[in-house]
Amino acid sequence: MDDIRDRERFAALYDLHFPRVWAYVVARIGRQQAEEVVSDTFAVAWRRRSELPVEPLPWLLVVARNVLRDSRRGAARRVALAEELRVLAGRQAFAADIAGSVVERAALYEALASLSDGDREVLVLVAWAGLASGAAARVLGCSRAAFFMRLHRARRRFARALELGGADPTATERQAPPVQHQTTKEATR
Amino acid sequence: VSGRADPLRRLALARPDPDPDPERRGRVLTRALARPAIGAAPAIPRRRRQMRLAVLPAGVLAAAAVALLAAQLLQLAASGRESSPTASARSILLAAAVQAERAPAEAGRYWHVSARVAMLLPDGLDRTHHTFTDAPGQRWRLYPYQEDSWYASSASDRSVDLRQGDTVWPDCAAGLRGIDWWSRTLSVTQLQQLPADPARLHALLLDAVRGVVPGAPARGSEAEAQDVLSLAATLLDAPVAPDVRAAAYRVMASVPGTRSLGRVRDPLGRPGIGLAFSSPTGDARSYPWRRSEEVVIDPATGTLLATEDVAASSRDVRAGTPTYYRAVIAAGWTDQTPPTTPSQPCQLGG
Repeated sequence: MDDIRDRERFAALYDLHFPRVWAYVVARIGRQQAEEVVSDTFAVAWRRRSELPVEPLPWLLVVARNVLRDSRRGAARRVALAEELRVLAGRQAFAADIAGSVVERAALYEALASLSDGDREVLVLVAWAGLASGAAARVLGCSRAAFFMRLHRARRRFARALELGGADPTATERQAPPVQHQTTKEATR
Repeated sequence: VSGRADPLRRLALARPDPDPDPERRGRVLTRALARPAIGAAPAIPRRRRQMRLAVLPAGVLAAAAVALLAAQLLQLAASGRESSPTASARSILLAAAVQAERAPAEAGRYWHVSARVAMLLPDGLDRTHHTFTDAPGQRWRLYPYQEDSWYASSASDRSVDLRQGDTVWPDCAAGLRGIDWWSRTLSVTQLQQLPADPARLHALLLDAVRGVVPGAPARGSEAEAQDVLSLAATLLDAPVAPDVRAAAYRVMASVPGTRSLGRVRDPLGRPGIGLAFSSPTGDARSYPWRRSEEVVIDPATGTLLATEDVAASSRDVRAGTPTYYRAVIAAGWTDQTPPTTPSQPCQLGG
């Protein structure tokens, strides 16, 4: 039976890991659907709480990955991801907003959106979920060597995409939507 | 500024955080902790119980078809009397269109759908929920806490057996409005303006599946046909007029790629007529198994009972293994205000 201490421990797990799981899911499927996928992820985690490893983040990401893979909502939504990331670049909330201007974020997200889902996943597992190579390889179900190869390639393509976007800064500005506030609804979806 | 810095480091500094939302924590945790009705879940009856009708000579069938009621036509179409499952699928869909057309036009304050949704692989999430959508497109879902007791109500019961305190999930908090329509959503009003002319509806569906990304490379007619089928199927339990639902069936009949599965039982064990079509494959890395999508139609009324995803082939998953289903328990208009509504009205418009 689920006692109160179980629930408290679970809430602490949520507080600790929600932002990273969320950022990973956003990079895969976009902000619109992220909350539900993350919620499903934690629902699985609750059901399997007796199996949770000591370091649960990679495990949670594997579950999130499975939820994403198995949910049909991904198929169509993913296509609109580029648009979503553009909108996201103009939003307010960021983990570390010291260096990032809207233009910088727009350039980064633009480049990220131009990559394949696979490249994007490798990059955000490291950059946004903060996984070390061993854990990231486990999440992806590949060897560390294979992971390094994938990361190397993804990073190269990402740098190239950044260069291309940066060649014409006005293009980035043009494509970045105006800063939107939380209550602003998206007109284009 | 940071042009020279490592791109990965720049990316790490630009990690997005969710918009502040004081209610999110409660929403996610309540939904996660809600007791799943594992015990009450009906065993998934596998597979294909083919009960073929007595075989009629083709000539007799053709002559008699005119006189048959649409329901009987649908039954016959499902019996696989046609030369191929493809031809049979077409007659099933056309017969279902006739059935759907006869449904009375209804109206109400909310479009209400209760459905049991399961993601069977790999984590076995399984939930019954109620979705309410009002005309402007405000939409929310209710997850009954005591799923098992609710689930005991009969499949045809349209009453809203929900209680104060059920988990409310405002879809509009995530920017969703109305009904999923490919990569965007349509409000109920927009859905009701869809054309009842199959050719015009077909053209609209094609536009929707093509227009997702401007300038994206053409994806080939086969992939587009699959997408059109998938999208047309979403109209089968959407708040559209009976003639638009009929048009959706007719579009599905006109698009190549469907095949009949004959008489089957849906995931809740209800008898129906099954149709399969290849699902849009999407990203191969995200979907390691190829899937086919199936719909189960109620032969008596031509309404949608369930949609299912079935693994077609993979190294990891046996072909025929269901990976997802959505079984519609009830879909219709209601004037009854649900016991729990979002604490704040959704921001709509635009």
